[in-house]
Amino acid sequence: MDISSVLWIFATGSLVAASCALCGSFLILRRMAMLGDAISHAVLPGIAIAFLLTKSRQSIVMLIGAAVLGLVTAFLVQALSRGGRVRNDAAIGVTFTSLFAIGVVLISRYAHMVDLDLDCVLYGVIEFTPFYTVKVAGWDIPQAFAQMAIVFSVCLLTVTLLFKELKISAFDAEMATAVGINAGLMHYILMGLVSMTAVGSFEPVGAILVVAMLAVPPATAYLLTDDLKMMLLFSVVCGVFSAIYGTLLAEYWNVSTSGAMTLVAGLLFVIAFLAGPRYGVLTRWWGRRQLSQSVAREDALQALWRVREQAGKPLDALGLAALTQSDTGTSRRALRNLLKTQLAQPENGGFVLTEAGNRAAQELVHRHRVYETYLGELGYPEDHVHAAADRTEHFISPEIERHVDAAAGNPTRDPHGREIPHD
Amino acid sequence: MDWADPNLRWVILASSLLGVAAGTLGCFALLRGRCLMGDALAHASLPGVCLAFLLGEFGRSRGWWSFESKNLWLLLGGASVTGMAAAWCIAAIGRHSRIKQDGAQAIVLSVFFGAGVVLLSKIQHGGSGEQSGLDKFLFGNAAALVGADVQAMMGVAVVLCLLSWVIYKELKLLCFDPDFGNGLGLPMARLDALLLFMIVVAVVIGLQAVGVVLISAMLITPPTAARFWTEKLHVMAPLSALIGGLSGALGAILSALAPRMPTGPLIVLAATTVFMISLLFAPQRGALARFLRFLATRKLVRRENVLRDLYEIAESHAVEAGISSAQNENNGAPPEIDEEELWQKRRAARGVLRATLHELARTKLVESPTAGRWRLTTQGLVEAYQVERRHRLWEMFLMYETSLGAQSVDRDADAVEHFLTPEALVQLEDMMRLHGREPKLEVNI
Repeated sequence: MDISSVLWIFATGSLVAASCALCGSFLILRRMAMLGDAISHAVLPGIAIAFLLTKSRQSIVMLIGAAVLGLVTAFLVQALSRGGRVRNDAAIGVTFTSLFAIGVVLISRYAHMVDLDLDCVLYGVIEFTPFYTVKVAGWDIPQAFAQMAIVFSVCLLTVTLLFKELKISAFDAEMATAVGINAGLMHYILMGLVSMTAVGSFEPVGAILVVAMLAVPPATAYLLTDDLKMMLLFSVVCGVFSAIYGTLLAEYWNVSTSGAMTLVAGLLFVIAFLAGPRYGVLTRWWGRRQLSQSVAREDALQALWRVREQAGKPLDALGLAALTQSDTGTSRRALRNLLKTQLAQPENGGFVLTEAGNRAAQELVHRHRVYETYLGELGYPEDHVHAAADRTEHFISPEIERHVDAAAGNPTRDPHGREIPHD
Repeated sequence: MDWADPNLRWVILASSLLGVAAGTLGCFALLRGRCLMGDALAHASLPGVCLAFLLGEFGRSRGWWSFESKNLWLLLGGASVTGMAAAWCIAAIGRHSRIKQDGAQAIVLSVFFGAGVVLLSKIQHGGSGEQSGLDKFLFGNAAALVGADVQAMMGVAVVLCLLSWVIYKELKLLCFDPDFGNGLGLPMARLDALLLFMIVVAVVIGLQAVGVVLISAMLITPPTAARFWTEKLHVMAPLSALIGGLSGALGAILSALAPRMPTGPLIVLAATTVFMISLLFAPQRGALARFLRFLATRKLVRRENVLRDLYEIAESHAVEAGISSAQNENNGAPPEIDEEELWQKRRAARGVLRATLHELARTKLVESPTAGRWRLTTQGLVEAYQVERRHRLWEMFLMYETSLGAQSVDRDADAVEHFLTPEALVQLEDMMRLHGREPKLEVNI
């Protein structure tokens, strides 16, 4: 394939991905992702009818015909679930399967008249986009590209102009109504955008890639950020990235382009799902692990300090586990950590604190006992303060510690009568 | 079309059995709020079909086994594996991220299908001799099915039906009160997984007949249609099975009549037709029945409003003039009221007011001694008195609701006095008098 064809495919795929990402973000936020799926299937009879009526691939007629069908779908779903008392998901299911079935029947019935391949309906033929060109201002431009350029401009313009309205009605439809935004109108504007995008993308990439691009990049972006503008940006970036790398991958493996694009988008989603900065599954697991390790380490430090205070024997992992009521594995890891950071050293078959460890532990014990005293001042019974302080001590910052110390009256002894260590 | 063709009869039977199985399982899916799960699972089975095909090819080329790579059981196995994997992914995304069920479905559906398309194009480009049949899975064509496939499909469908009949009670519990089921010690989570697996199997055996995109309709449309006719699961499930079976048979027959038509869309359209009939004509929940009920209620409301307006105007006239004299003036009949004055009271559409007045005149509740002026007849006064009293009792009830201790009243009851204790009613009437709201025009017969 020559370089200009590849560039055209990149450009068309990117426009499809970007338009879908813009509408899809709002669909994900409004929990209507499956409605996007429904619309992208239900435009089929619109395309078929427009085809039969005009006997041409004249794209503007097809765009209009199918966009109307998309709005009809949105309307039917609304009517069935509000007026017909059908569950919303059932309404979506009944509507899109019926319309899609009508489309398939029409195409099969008039197959000899319609130059429309049913397989392309599902997964499109973006590979062929460079071959169907139109003349725009003397340039030969692929028809699909020109079409998607229009669709993308409309999407971008609408989202820019109606950003505030779309945002409010996506997050809080009642609030939108209360401040005078017509939430119903916003719903249909969004549905109109989705239908238009679905129709425009139908020929190059097929129904399934439309669903993929409507759902996957926006969901990926949703896992990465809490800011709608950033979400829109990220989802466009993810979409365009999947379009370009998908095309390359498809070329390399010699497989369907739209399928490969979907796979890349899916891969990006999996990465965000596992390793997203705030919501990633692995990220959160790692954060919890770090926290529990630091808690175990601080507990170990304090335990060693207390043993020394009471002039006991050096502790080993088993003794530490018994003392801190944790399992041996955790205790062993905590001791190993202390050993590595040179806060503890081996002695007599157990471990004792080093000078640095002593200082660190003293701070912790100070924090613990000051907090115990403070709880005692608040009227907590003496035998309840230890457990509470044991849980809270890991989360008290030095600043809060100073305040607690002052509030407890800079005590020198804790409620159990033990001395509170000071530097 | 050749009725004597045994294959055709098998195909019709198999499609209708598929419809029965999908219709039954669809009921539980609908009630569990899992309608679109079928769609996701169907799309997710495509990579399984392709992987199973590739595996079959691989094994054959190594001489490990000799069955065809398009062996139905192999393909079904592959499809079930990826289907269950997709179900697991949807659940995992829903549980471990802030993306909701619908988003998770759309993501899993499209990514799995994308993977399937990649594999399919790989197989087709690979050009092995057998690949041609695989894309049948996309749109389905029951008429093209043959012998062993049809029998396998039927066998699985029958097993699914029997299984859902055997565990009917447990599935019902799962749909309506899984927590109670857990309390009884039933393994609800495993039951849920079993239901999901049965749905996957139904989807997978239907793929060849109906195709990836439309198989979900067989799970959604029949139960949704059946739901219109009944409130009982033990009626809904057989009805949905019947609708599914009929659509399956009808679709297969139509498809045999018109050879170029794929079966799937025809089955779906048959089911949609039943759905639309149900939507329109079902006796209680149907659109027509509800519209008629709406009309009846509107008529009743308009009638009572006009009666009350007439009564209130007459009452205010009478109060101004002193009650006894006003009633005596017309031999006990209430005074005539100008239509304009009546309209002023509510300012609704004039046409509606006039039509309602004529309707009331036809039932002899009002009369028009002079043109453009109306008055209640004695019978009308009795009626209007009742309506007005009910209205004012209701007002009092709403004002003193909390102090009456009647929190558990049935608000759909026709009249206040029907759901209040006699003591509360006496109290309400006292309140009414206290506020000067008792109906003052009484009928003295």
